[in-house]
Amino acid sequence: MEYRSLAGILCILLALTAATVSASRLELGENLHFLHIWISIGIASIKACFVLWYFMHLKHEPAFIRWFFVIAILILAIFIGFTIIDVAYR
Amino acid sequence: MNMHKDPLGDRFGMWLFLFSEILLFGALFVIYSVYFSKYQADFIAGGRQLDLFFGTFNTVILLISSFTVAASITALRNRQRKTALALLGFSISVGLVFLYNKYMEWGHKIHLGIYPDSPWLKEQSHGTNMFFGLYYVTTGLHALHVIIGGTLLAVSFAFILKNKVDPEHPTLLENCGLYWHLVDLIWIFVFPLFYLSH
Repeated sequence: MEYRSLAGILCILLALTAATVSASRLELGENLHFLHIWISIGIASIKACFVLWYFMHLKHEPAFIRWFFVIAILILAIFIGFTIIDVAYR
Repeated sequence: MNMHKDPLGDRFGMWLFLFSEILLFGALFVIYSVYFSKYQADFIAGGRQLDLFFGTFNTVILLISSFTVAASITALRNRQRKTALALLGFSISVGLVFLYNKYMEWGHKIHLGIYPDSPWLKEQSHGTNMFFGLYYVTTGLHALHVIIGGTLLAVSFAFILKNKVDPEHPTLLENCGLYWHLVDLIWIFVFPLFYLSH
């Protein structure tokens, strides 16, 4: 990848870091306080996608490597999701 | 001897290894989510005790080092060997700065009496103990990965110097780079979970 496009990705990542820090300082009130963790995880996931797609060159990898990655994340999501369901309804 | 080269196979092998690393940290994130839902107030109070400045600064420098590692691969491909070496050298020094910050941060916490099994923590609730226990385990395991990643970057640096890694054979640098990006990727999630729980 060109230096310029890589530098552009870095700027996006730094802007998202600033966004997540300022979002975490927002006063959302008692009822909406639970949103903080979801906003944090949402922004972190967007940052992760940029790192994976451009810095880790998933963009240029063959489809099977990308699909393997999706499967790995799905397994992790099942792992986390089912544990939360188990704990929540215990 | 004519060695058979399989760069795609090498990279795929590296990705499979990275998946196992993701699951390793994934297990810690599972523990975090369970105890976060159970002791939300303690986790938020714990997050407020962490140093936001150190956390944000380390996030920023790690992102910059990810950029310089990706740029060093571009430089190698463009046959700009010196630029590639300079970018790698910079990335390694950023890793050292990250570790130094971590040392300062942990040192400060330990000075305040916040460390596993400390007299202060023993008097606190179970939730606070879980938060700081997870904080030390997660950031400690991550710091270990920074040490390994920095070592791998140093190995790539040496191989480029010896011309064993060149534009025709970039796989070692690419795979070491992938590992360094993984270290960054994990920190992208560790940072908000611990430092931004507010």
